Amino acid sequence: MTKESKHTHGFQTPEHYFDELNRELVIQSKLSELPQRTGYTVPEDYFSGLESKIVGALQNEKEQVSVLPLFRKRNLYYLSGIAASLIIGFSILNTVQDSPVIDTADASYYIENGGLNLNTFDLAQLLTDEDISEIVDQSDFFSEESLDTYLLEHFDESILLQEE
Amino acid sequence: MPLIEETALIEGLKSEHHKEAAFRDLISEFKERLYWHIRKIVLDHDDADDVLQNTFIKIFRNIDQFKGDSKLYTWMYRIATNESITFINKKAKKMLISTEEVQQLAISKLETDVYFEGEDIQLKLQKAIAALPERQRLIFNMKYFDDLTYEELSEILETSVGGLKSSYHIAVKKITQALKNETF
Repeated sequence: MTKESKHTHGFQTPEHYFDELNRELVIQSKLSELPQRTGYTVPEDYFSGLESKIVGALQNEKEQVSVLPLFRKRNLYYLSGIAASLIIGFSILNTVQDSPVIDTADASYYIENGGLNLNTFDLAQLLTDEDISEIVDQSDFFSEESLDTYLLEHFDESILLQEE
Repeated sequence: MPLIEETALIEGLKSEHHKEAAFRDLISEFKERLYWHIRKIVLDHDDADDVLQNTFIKIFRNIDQFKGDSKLYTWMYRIATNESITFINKKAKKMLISTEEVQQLAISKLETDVYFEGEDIQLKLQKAIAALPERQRLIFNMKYFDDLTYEELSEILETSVGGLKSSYHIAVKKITQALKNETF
């Protein structure tokens, strides 16, 4: 039974305040039964050397050779193919017996680091129409699975972390 | 962390000359909070160590993208959360199992984990948390153990305060029920 008050105090509460208060009290009463700590521990002195460890890891990463992003990978295939053709052609034409042997991995590394300065026009000149249509027709150049794996390994979530 | 110190730290991180010193200060200030946040998601110490390093490296590399619209630590929490989830997804992919199975596997190892010294009730609590959907698990850990406010959680998870309150309430109900039933 509510008694009608003679005077109104003028104070108000936020909307749904009492509903939420009720819910919060239920939560708090349930939580009081739970342990306050997780039980997880860390190795002794783990936190004390962490600054140097992380700065060291950052410096190591900087020193590593950068990986070509996906959109350039296709170019790498073109370049590797051309490089392999050039090497084969060169080895046929070159009659010098003591010439050094260059494998495809070395050639790819050389190209990847800008050693072979070819532009798109140069590449187009070296490929026949047949070569180009063969590459374009390969719709499964990257399978869905390999693309998925690549994104998991290389996708930079920081793009999504931008505040705006 | 007082606002004035946070501003100075961000300026240091963005300057060429003081970058490394500021980065060390940043690690000192936040290493434990971020570590425990990550640990509660990935559960294993070695995994948490890997994710923590990746998180700080990502923070260092992306500090220019931090515009100060949110608090620095909520922005870092968001990076740590994303890194942890990405880590679990990668692990699941490598092991050809689901992310839920990764969690259950990690939980099953807790009893013999040298870096878990919890009592029986703590083990049961961790099992109950691991059985929650990912979002509820994150919300529960950050609210219950890290004592973050709903407003802070809202910034980190980009979810409305109302939605967070509902998720937390559901998570608490599920956990207390699971502890009563002990059917997990």
